[in-house]
Amino acid sequence: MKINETQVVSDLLYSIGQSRESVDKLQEQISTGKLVNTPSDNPVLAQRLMLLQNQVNQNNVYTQNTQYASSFVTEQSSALGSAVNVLTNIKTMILSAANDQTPQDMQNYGTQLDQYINQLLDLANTKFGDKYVFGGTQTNVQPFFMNSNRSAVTANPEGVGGALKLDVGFEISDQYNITGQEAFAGGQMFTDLIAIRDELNGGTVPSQADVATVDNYLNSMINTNAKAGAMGNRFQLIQQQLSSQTQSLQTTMSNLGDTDIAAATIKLEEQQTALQAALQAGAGVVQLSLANYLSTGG
Amino acid sequence: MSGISSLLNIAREALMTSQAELDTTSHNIANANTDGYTKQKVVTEAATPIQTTYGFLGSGVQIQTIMRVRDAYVDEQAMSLNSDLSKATTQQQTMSNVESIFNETSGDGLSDQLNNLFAAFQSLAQNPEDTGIRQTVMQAGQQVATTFNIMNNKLQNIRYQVAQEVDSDVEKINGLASTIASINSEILSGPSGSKTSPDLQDQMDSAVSQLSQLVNVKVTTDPTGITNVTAGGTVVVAAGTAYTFKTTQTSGGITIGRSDSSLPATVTSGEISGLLDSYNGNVSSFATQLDNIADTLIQTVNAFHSAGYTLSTNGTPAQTGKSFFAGNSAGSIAMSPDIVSNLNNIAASSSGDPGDGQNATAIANVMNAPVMNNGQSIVNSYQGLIGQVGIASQQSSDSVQTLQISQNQMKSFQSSISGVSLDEELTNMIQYQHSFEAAAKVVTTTDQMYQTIIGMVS
Repeated sequence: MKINETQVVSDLLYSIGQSRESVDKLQEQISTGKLVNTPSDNPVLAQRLMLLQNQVNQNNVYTQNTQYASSFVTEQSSALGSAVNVLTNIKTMILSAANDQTPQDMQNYGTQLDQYINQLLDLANTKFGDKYVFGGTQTNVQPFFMNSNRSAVTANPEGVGGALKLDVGFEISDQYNITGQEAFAGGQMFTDLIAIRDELNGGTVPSQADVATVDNYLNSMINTNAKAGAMGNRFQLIQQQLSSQTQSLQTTMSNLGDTDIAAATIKLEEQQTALQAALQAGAGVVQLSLANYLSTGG
Repeated sequence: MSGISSLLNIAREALMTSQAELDTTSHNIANANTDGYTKQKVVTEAATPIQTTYGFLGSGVQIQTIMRVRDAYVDEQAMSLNSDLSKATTQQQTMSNVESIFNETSGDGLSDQLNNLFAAFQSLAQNPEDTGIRQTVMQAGQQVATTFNIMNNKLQNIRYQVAQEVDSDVEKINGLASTIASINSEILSGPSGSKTSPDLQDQMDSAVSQLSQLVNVKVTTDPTGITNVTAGGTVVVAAGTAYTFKTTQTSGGITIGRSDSSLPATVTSGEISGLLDSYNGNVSSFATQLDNIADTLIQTVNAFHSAGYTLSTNGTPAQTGKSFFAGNSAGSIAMSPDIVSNLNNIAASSSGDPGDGQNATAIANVMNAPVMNNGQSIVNSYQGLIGQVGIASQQSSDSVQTLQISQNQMKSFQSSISGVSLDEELTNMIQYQHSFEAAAKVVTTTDQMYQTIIGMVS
């Protein structure tokens, strides 16, 4: 086939262009560290990477949710732990009151019990940030109120039993609060303790039933606290699972989508050599013409 | 028996032929780099011999014609390849513009915005009574809406530009058609039976080749050099008459056709074909899909949102029935006025209790739940759309690559036939120069023969 000068030049430009394009692509892959820089680089891989990224993003959100849930329940647990201590003190006090006899002693015990009730009330109104932790879903209303003559404690009439829930996985909703209903029998605990306090203030020695009442509340508080602790552990476990899941997702993403720098660098070296060779050969070929020999000969 | 003078005649014709050949060679060399130039060649033949008693005596050389060196079949192949290549190139350019709109790999695209909205609603679920987080939710919603708006805007812009280009290409078709028609007229008005100038034919070829880059053409050339052209299945040039084309834009898309007909042309290749395919096909389909995704997002989020309760404040009780988004497409999506005027109208609660964030959770889950008509989630549908865009873009650049290679081969084949090789021309030059010298030698020899005869007489 006859090959003429314009053809040589256009072929040369084409192959140099091709070489430059591959050098450019490799350069981009190395400098960004990513194999896919526009969807058309590899549509299937691009879509897969987006899917993985979406899962990582979701996992991050669920991790945040579990962290929040875990710190919320930890706050509750610490309040419940203190409540267990207060109720233990009340139990000890009631038991020793049963051994004493004088009305004066009883009144002293009554005053002491009133203090304990105050402490319990403070614990029941514990806040986490701006939230009342034992208010159920009525988090911005103080759940338990002592009336002015300290004769009764009322719970928020809207209720203190609402469950707070957060997603810890796709459409996996988990409760993360101990309600005021559960922890303080919806305020009944205060009513019962106030009745005992009033008995003591009236000089009455606490009955066996009174001891049983306090004991019941103590046991139930211990159980509730244990439940809170278990909840906290559960959220921590989920958090660990999520983070190991995220890690493996990220590893997959990196395996699929990151540039193998070593391989890419070697390829780049190859392409550069090819480009150089094309340029050099081109410079030589373009100068060749019969005219050179005619002019020198003529 | 012819006289010595016929010897001079033969030598004179030979000199003139060599000169014509050298002229053509020089013309070829001069046009070696002219685009669309076809190598010319002097076709010579032996002149009619003289009959003598002992047989036919050669009477030298004569020029039959000066022709362009070409292969009609190869030229036609090259033209149709050109047409396909310019279609693919146009599509590739459009797709690469479209792809830049959907560029999600950089990390600030719609899929990230959707994820931010998901995350914002999830954190609202943690603290539904917190106004600060409500602000975040609104901003995330606003971002999603704005991103949809911008993408839609850019897509519509691309469609608009494509439509503009179709218009300007149709103008070009009309211009080229009238050029071809006027070259035809020039040939028609020439002396009848005269041969068409190779350079005029080159001009014609160049106009036809430009036309073939715009639209699929069919060309028929009669022996006199008159070229009739059909573009997109309809006649655009018949001898000296050119017919104009026009564009028709309807809601269904754009078509082109002859101005004096309501029938659309069948455009299968060329730049216009690429433009029409993008306008009526891919780009329009991407815009519709984006609209669908936006609409489903609006409908589903609003369905959950209006079922939930707003945050009660200062005596305003918690209420249901508020929308989160307004609009019904990628272009019209916006935050609902209820939310813009009062952040407490974001319905996070499913019970009306301020600390209940379960409705916020439900809304967050809309992004990843199978709510689309095809059973996919909004995020997945969008990612699917990106995949489609990527594939379309990849395919268009692949076909450009493939066609480019074929075109290169075709070009070098064509140029091996019709192109000017300087080496070849220089070789010819030496050859013709030698012919010229030899013919001149015949003249001097004849001169000596005359001298001899005259010498014999004196």
